[in-house]
Formats: sequence, structure tokens, C-alpha cells
Amino acid sequence: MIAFRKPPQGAVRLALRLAWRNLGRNRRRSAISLAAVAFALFFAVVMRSLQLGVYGHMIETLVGNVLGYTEVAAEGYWPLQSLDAALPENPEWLAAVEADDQVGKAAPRVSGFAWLSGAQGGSAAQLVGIDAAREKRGVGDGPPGSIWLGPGLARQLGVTVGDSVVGLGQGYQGSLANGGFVVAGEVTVGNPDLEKRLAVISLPDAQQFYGAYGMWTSVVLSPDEPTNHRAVAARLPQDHPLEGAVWRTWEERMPELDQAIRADSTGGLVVLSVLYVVIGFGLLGTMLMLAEERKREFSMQIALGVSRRLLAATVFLEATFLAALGALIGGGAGRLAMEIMHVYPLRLRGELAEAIVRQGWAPILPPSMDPSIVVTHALLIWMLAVLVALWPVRAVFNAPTVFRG
Amino acid sequence: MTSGSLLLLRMAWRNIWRNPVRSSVVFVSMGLGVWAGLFLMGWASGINDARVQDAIDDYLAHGHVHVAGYTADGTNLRALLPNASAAVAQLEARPEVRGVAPRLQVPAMVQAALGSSGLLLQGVDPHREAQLFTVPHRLPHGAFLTDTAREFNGVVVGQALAKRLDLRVGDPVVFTYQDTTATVHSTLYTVEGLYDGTSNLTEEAVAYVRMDKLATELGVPHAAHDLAFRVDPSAARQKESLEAVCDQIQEDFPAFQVKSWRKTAPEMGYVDEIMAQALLLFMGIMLLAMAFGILNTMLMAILERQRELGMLMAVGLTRQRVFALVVLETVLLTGIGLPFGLLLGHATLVVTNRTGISLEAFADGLAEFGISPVIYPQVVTHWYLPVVALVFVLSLLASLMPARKAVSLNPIESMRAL
Repeated sequence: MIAFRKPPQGAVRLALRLAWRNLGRNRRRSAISLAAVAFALFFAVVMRSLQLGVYGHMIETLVGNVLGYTEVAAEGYWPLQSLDAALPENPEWLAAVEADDQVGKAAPRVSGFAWLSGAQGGSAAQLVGIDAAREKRGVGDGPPGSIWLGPGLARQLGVTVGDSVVGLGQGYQGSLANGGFVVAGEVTVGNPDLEKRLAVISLPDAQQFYGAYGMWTSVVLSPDEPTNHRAVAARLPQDHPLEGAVWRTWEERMPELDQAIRADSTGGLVVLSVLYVVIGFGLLGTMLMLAEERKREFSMQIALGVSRRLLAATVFLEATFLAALGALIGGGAGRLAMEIMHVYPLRLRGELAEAIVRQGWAPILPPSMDPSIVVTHALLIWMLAVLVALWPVRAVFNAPTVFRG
Repeated sequence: MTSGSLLLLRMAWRNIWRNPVRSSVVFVSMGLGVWAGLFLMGWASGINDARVQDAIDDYLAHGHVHVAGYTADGTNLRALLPNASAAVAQLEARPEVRGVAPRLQVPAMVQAALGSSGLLLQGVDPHREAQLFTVPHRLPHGAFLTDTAREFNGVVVGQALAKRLDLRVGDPVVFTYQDTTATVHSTLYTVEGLYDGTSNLTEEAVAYVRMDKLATELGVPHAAHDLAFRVDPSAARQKESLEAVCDQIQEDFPAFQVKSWRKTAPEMGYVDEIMAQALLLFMGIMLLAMAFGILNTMLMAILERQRELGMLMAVGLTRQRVFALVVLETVLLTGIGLPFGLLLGHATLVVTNRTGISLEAFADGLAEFGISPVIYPQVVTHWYLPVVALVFVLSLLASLMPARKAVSLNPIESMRAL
């Protein structure tokens, strides 16, 4: 019909226009197909965002707060984390690393294990000296001799702010580490299990306690953007070399955690691929019907002299538009859900929450805000739809010139 | 069944086969969806059952006896059972109890030549521990607290800890801990063996020493913190029977608390339920997505048959029957794929349950969570009925819109339609 109105300026433009208008011909069918794509994408995005978000939260808690994305330490420091493998202080080098555009944080630490005793009891703890000005965690900054305890550790020692704590341990090069501290507050890292055995003091206090004067056990680096931390970790050792030091990403130091996350993530992708196969079949059903319903129309158009290629292009574009629209709506809704969950994270309650806390994690399900989730899955589902759209294209090429219905 | 409804059923059945390609797409997607869903459920159950069984064999046991205020992390040192051997004898005398192991637990700091770490020092009776748990039998290096080792203070540490602190059998280590009077002790021990635990986490967190030695050190001779016990396997299998046994034992020990593993480590039991519910939810989402496809297919089938439906109504087929016809056709359409999916899913689970599925590529990561690298999916027959119900409810829902559309057709206009 349109072909009679105006001479076409080009076959492609004509096919595009025809395809677009065809979408409006059977609005109900278009709406349902669109809903199927949008719905599937929405769930895929939400599921994946929550799964990746939980990993992100785990990594942020463990890596961002405690381990550091990249750690610079002496050759033999990992995995023993022995004080004896400490590096001499190097403020010029630290200043140079800090000045790097892609480094968000660079903080020296003096870390060791000590037995801490309080009024009610004692516990082994990782006693870490930090540079409060660089770590910016609101702890480690106070009068000399102050200590910040994880809430679980403070409970175990039976102490609160103002009480004293005695530390005893192995110091630098076999010296005996001992000293008294006054509890200045709590240090929280989002993992109750870690908080049972974490204590923080200032860097100079730690150097004095362990007898490691003028030494750092490690320098932890965080990139300004966590997603590109591997690239940054690969580049920095060349730009800012430090003699005798080894640069290790958290994946190198905690391969089990990395692998556990990968295994679970793969499981999540298997589940999603099942969803995609089912959706693919649903779309295929729609395309079958679309081809069936329009056999007469195809034959008539071919008889009137419309080339099969133009017709095939029209039908293919129609399906592509439909899938793209569905992907746009589903992706938009998924992104919206991510934004909402980002502001109001899902909080687990009751027995389930207790079980999670027992495992050492905060009972929240934060979403991942990585924009690539929406893009990847929208593209995947769109490609699936395009693949399925080959069926009506085939129908066009098979359509008889004379249709007897 | 009246002849009228039988006729409807026949019509619906024949309608399905009018377009075999279209119907096949629905069958195949339904069958695949159900099959994949069942397999995922069996898989998740398999992982969890193995994890729970390993934990029970490794450190959890079936139940525990201790005083009120006891915590499994050893932080409440004063929560002691004063006369442990009498309590052990009393517990062992019960017919359903298969073994008892007393334990004394104290948080400690371990110092090796090259580094130090925090852990839970667990004082055990080596013979009783070996009757109840697998740890004393899984020693790639050394021995488990032999009698001759009494003089040199033997300690058995986990492989993961040994790797981190570079410890070998025969190496000296110093343990520092506080007794009930808050006095700090630092005692020299010798590594006697390295154990292979269920997870790297437990391997780093628990070390074993002789209980008598530790009790003397702590100044609490004859006392224990916890009596771990196993019951008859038939009683342990079911949640209810295990709780019943624990309740009976509780009557013998009015002064103490008797708890099953489900109560001392609730996270172990929940994971199973959480996983199953999450998978049922996923199955619902998947079937809902499938319902969109079915809805679409049926709606188009109705539009395609406008003329014929108009004719049928014109010759006297009531609207209720037209409605029933469409609903029947949809339910039949989904119903055909369902048994194939169930059968295929059941067969897959039965076979893989026997052969197991190896995940060697992720072995280290799985060990972190205490999961063995070979997974034996469970045959989850108790989930078949909920899945069938879900399929029928969703296909019924999917049939409503096409059925309403069919009923709203005007017979005369429909007959004139192309």
C-alpha cells in the first residue's frame, strides 16, 4: 500500500518504514512479544545484579577494607605475613605512587598477630598499625597508645572505651612485643567473623610495639576505580619500581576466594542460560505464528512484484525492532530496579539473616551497579531474538507465488 | 465425564495437532524448562547434602551436651561441665547413642618460627575423637595424638594452616591462651600431624591437642566444654527423629542443654531450604517467561481460527464451551511436554546420582566452602508435585486471555473475516 503512495527513495529505507508500521498492525501480538523479551531481560538483569553485587560486597568488605586490592610487600611476606619480612620505609616512593592518577589510596601498614588480654578474657588478634590520614576510616587517629577493637573482639575481652588492654606477641626479628593500650573505639569492616580478631593502632604505635622501627610490613593500594584494578596493578610496578618488593593483587593472595566466586558466578550463568533457552523457544513460537498468519500476505506481495529480499528484510527488521524495544524496556526496568535496590538494599530478616551473620557476612543483598550487566544481557537477548527471526525470513523465501488458503 | 465435555476434549486434542510445528515448539520448551529446573534442584540438594554430611563427620556430630552460656567459638571459657567422665558414661549408657567425644575449647594464638595466627585450640580424647570423626583418620602427614606423644605436647594442625605458617611434622610451635582466672599461658607444643579437613576455613581455625594436658594447663582437671555425640544412623536421618532423641536425652541431663546439630549450627540446615526455595522461585520465573510464549501462541491460534470459531458459535456452541475449549487446549498443550520433562529430569538425576559430576576445575574454590569437587545430584522426588502444580497454574493463567478473546468474538463478523 505504501509503495503506491510515493516512489521509494531506497530499498533499505522502505524496508525500515514497512517494518516499523507492521509493528502497529497487530498491537496485541507486538505487545506480548515485547513483554516476553522485557520480562526475561528484567529478571536476568536483577538476578545477575544481585549475584554480582553480593560478590562485590564480599570483595569490598574483605579486599577493600582489610586485604587491599594490591599489596606491595617484601618477597617472603606472603603467605606467612611475617614481620621479619618487612620493608624499610620509603616516603618518596609512597608520595610518587599516591600522585599516580589511577591510584585511589596508598597506605603503609605494620601488621602482626598478638595476644590481647582484657579485664574478662583474652584472644589472639591481628593487630594492625595504620596511617589514619591515608586510610580515612575514622580509626587510628588518637593519642599515642590508643587501640580500636572489632566489636566481637571487644566483647570477648570484656572491655569498652576507656578500658585498658595488654598486648603480647612476637616482634620484629625475634624480639618480644608487649605493650598496654587504651580502648579508643570500635573498628568495623562489615564482616563479624573478621571483627572477632581485628584490632587497629596507629602506625608509630605498631612500629614501637613490634620493635619494627622505620619499617612497613606492606603498603596496600586501592585503584580509583575497582573494576580496572588488575590493569593498574600490572602497570604500577614498571612506573614506580620498589627494590625488593613484590606486587600482589588480591586474586593472587586469595586464589580460593577468587575461584569460589568464579565457580558460583558460572553456576549463575548456567541458570540464566536455561532461562534464555526457554525464552528463545517462546520467541520462536511467536515468530512461527507471525510467519503462518502472513503467508497469504507474503504470497500476494510476491505476486505483485515485491522482491523476496525486500520482504525478507522487512520481516527481519520487524523482529529486530520488536526485540530491541523489548530489550530497551526490560533493560530500563532492570536498571531502575538496580537503582532502587542501591538506595534501599534488600535486607534479610529472621533466621536466614542469623545464618548469614553466622557465616560472617552482613545480612544485606546489595545490587551491583555495573552498567555492563544491562548492556550485556540486553545484547544477548536481542541477538537471541534476531536468531529466531530467521524463521519468518525462511518462510518468505518458501512462500508460494499463488496462495490458496 | 459427560459426552459434551468428552467432545470438547477431543476437539482440543485435535486442534493441537493442526499445526504440529507450533505445538512442538511449546512441548520442547516446556520439557526443556522442566528438565533443566529439576536438574538444578537436584544439583543444589546434592551439593548441600554432601556438605552437611561432611561437616557432621568432620566436626559437627549429631548432637551436643553443654551448659547454658556455652558458645562453639570457645569464647565463654567458664561454661564448663565439671565432671566430664561421669557425663560421658551416662550419655553412653543410652541405647540410641553410638559414640561420645568430650572436648575442651580455648581460643589461642599460635606462634611458629616464621609467623603467627589465631585459632581455636581443641582438647580431645584421641580414641573417642577417632570413633566419632573423620579428622583423626585423614592425616596425610604424621599421627593423631598418640600416647607416646604425651611427653612432648603433640598438636595436630590443619594442612591450610601448616601451608601458611610453613609448618612440618616435628616443628615446634608456641600456643598462648588465657585460663579461667585470666592468667596467660605460653606453652611449647610439637606438630605431630597435619589433618585434611572439609574446608580450608576449618583447617586454619582449629588445632587438636590432648584434653588431659590442656585441662591441667587451664586448671580445670576433669572438666569439658562440650560433649559431642552421634546417634543411630536411622534416627539421625530425619529431622524429627533426631530432635526426639535429643529431647529424650535432655530428660537425663536436666542441668545441661542437649542440642541437635541443626540447633548448634543452624546455617547448615537452612542452606538446603533457602536453595530449594530460591530454585523454585527461579522455576516460577522461568515458567512465567514460558507462559508468555504460550499465551502468544494461543492468542494467535484463536485469531487464525476466527472464522471457524464464529461458525461453531453460530451453530450453537455456547460461550462457556468455547471458553472451556481454549483453556483445555492450552492445558493439554503444556501438559504434553510436562511428563517428558519430568521423565528426562528424573532419569538425568538417577544417572548422575550414581556417576557423579566432576568439577575439578573449581576444586580449590569449592574446598574453601567445604564442597567436594565431585557432586552427586539428589533425586528430588518431593519437588515433582510442586513443579507440576506450578506448570498447571501458569498454563491456566496463560489460557485466560486467549479464552476471553475467543468468547468475545462476534459470530457473524467472525465468519465474514478473512
